[in-house]
Amino acid sequence: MPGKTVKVDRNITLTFWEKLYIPEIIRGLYITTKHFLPNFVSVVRAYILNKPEERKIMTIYYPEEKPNIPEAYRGRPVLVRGEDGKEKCVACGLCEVACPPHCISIVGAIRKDGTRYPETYVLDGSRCIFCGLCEEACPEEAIVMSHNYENLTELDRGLMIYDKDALLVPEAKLKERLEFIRKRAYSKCNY
Amino acid sequence: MSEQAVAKDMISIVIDGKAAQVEKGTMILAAARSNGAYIPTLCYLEKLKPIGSCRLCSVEIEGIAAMVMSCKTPVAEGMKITTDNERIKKYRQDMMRMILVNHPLDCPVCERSGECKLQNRTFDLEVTGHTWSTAGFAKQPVVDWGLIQYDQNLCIMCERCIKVCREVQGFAAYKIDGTGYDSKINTVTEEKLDCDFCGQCISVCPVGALSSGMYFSGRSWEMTRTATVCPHCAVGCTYVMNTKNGKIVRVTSDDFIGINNGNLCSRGRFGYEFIQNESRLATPLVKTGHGFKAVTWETAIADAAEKLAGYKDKYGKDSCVGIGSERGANEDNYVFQKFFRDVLGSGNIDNIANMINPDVCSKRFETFDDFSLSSSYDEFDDMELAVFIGADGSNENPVVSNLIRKAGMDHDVEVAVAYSREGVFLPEPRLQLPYDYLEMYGFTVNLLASAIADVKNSGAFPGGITPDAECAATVTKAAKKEKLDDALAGKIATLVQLIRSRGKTVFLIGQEAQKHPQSSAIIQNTVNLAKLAGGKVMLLREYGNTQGVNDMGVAPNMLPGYIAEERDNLKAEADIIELMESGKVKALVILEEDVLRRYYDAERFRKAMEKVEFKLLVSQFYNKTSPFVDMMLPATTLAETDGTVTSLEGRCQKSVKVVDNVGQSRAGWKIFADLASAMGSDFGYEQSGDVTSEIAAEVPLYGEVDKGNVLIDYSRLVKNSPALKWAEPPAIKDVKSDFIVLQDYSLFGLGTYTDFCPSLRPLLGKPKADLHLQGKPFVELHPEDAGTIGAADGSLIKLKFAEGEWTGQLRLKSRVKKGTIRVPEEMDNSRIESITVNGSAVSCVNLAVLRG
Repeated sequence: MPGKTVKVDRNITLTFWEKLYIPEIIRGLYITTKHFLPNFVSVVRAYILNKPEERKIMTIYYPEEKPNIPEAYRGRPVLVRGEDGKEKCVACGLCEVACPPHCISIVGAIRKDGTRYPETYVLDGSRCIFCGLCEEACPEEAIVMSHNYENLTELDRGLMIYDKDALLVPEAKLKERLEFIRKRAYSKCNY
Repeated sequence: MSEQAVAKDMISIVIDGKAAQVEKGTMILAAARSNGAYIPTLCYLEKLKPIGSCRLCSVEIEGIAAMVMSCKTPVAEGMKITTDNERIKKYRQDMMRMILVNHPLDCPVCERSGECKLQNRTFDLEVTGHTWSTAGFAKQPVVDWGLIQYDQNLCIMCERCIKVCREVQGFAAYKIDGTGYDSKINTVTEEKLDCDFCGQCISVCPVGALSSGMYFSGRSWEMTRTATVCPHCAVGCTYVMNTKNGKIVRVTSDDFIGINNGNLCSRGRFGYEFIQNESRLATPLVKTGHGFKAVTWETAIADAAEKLAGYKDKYGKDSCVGIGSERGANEDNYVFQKFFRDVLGSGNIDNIANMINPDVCSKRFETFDDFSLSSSYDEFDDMELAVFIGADGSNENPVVSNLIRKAGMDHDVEVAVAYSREGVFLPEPRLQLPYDYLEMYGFTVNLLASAIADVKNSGAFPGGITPDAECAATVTKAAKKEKLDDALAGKIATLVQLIRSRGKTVFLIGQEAQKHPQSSAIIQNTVNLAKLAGGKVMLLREYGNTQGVNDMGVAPNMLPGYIAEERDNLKAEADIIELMESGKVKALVILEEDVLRRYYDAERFRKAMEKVEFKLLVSQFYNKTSPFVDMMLPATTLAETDGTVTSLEGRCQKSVKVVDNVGQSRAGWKIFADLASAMGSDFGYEQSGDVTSEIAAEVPLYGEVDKGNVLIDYSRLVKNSPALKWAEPPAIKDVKSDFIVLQDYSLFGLGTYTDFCPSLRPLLGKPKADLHLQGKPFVELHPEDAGTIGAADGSLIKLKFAEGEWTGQLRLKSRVKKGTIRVPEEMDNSRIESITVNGSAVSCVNLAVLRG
């Protein structure tokens, strides 16, 4: 059945100046040169004239150099190991149910003192989409998005399944992120 | 006229501006709900009387300044009710904040989170913050009561647990301690909880204050809930299996499905661990020189089929015998009997209940031709008197007692209990008739004679019949022979007057009456009494499918649906054990049954088994019978297969597959269909539904069974005879001994399954409160009897069994009848050979000796 014909406005009507073509080429080359020349001069000054402190370029020499990660960055989710050496997680299962790709599975257990802990906590890194909903759902600040972004892919998917040992990170190393999630705006507006 | 009569009971009210007609006496809450208005509640539960502790259900009534609790206030003519407005909402929110002020935010570690009434109401009422706070709130430790745990911090003092314990269980294990913010739930004894551990309090607790002592690893939203039928006793309760990742983690109940009104007992609620126990048989096992060896199904089936076919050809059709299962589905038992009758050509099959007492099983409709009197739970609705005859109501079929108590809440129901000890129904009824076990027949015949005399003097009972003079004379004569003590005779007269003053009577006949040596006469007397009184009779059953296995014709000479079998090669009174002892039997097939544990004369059965060449046991576990068999095939439990089971009232219900088969286990019907096809006759079943359809087509009684939950109508089997029928009792074996050993039913006994339920096992045979103290098992005795044999409370008592010895503690109870020793269910009374108290032997007799 033939559909209705719709005229589409592709918005390619060029102005007279644009139709001239040459001025636009020059404008593009100007932007390229504006970025290229300072970098070029900077590199020459830094490595040929041996004045590295004067380098003003945007790129870095990864992996020798590491970028500064902003605190809101969501890297690999990790479990927080409290100062008493025990995991903070109480196996409430809220991250499990919040996780959109269902990459978390927890089996809870109970300690002799009556507190609860995850007997097994498995996070399938090959499924994780780094959305951070687990961190948001967690009532205990027990799972946070770390700033770890390296070596997260493997040729074997089996190697990307993290168990509790691979996930637990001491609280001291995650201070920055923990402070960030405490002051996060959206954690206040709901309550 | 009729319209006027209806209008008399109806009241016009206005709910939220809409006029409505409701019945007089209805509470506002029920009236509003039936008219589509939503009123939030927290403590209200339909099966309980209104509590009125949460005040969330408050509504406004025109002309009344204060808020009115809708759950407790009946409607009145012309009442104008507002169920929701700004003022009511504010009031409810404030009530919520009061409740929440001390409630810790432990939701992440609380078992109830996700199905918590408090969470839901907080969300509904949009309570988003605290307005008040309290000072000095110290966290209290969790109290451990064994299978039940109490967390005072989470408790919101709604009192549901106290009410359900009193009103539904009749027990009163809990009370409130303290006042105000310090109030908490405590046990009545203020010590360890000593109750039935039915877990009803857990199921009604709106928050996580009362929780199961069995920790479950999961949250409520992770559970897959499957409603199925409880396999443990014959009541036919529906319970909800909660599974997580294919593992059963707990059992819950639902007030609105099944016959049980959300009630479960400790067996149902906590007795699920056997299903996925590590000890389940995983592969077929064949006996070799030293122990059992695992083989494949193909080998096992081929091997068994070859042997059975060999015996059939060589020694004739009757060389194979079989014992069906009281716990298996109807499907398993149907295919089992079909395999025996059609493939092996042998009609020598039986089930253990029928072996113990055929008169109440396969011959039930022949022996007692008046089972048109048989009752269903629906009759409890207008019942006015329940009489237990030889039934331990609280422990054999606890949910039947719950249903009777519920009927008592709706209208006045009197309960009378005749049992060999006192205190078996709770709350204790005014009329208890403790008889001597050996005089049980005398008790019933005296009761009947007393009723007949009453009919003579004051005319027939309402709805009852008048006995003919000849029968009346026989009964009176028989009653004179049986002398009872004056106290019991007086109570019998009271009971007869009670039957006269009350209308509808239901007589519930329990295991003690069914297993008594003079059982038939006892039950016939009760049936006669029911006829006189115009009442009904309900036969309480022991196991999940005791009714179904007999309906399916797993009994000698009886085809499915109680059709007499006509075969020339069949001995009319073929007793399986006699056949085995005669040496004619070459093969024995047992379906899901632990015969050596359940049959009262186990030693005789074991010796008879020795004469059988090939013994095949289809079972879930390595049980007491297993060491003596040659091959074991792993079977599924009811939770792993679809099927139907028939409850004691004759309700055939669907049991649903909940989890995957454990190991390589197969359903009973599948095993026998496989055996049949290996022997050359293909039954053509692909799934259990095929068997169900065949049952529906072939068994006349079960015509509509494939459609689901049906109440089977046995009336076509009943020859209605209005006259009384006289049954002469067999003489009881004259035994000279001081004591008779009787067994108390336990709520923690699941037969073989008990051994595989680690949480229930320690409770069996012990004083419940002492469970936590690792108490010794106990034996009960009357204090006066203890005096004569020179024993005291706490004396050590040694019981000698055929299999070994067992030591327990003596407890003196005046509620025990003199001349009896009560042993817990675990100690099978029929196997006790001798009892020694403080080193000196006591002369005692057990059931096996009495039965001869």
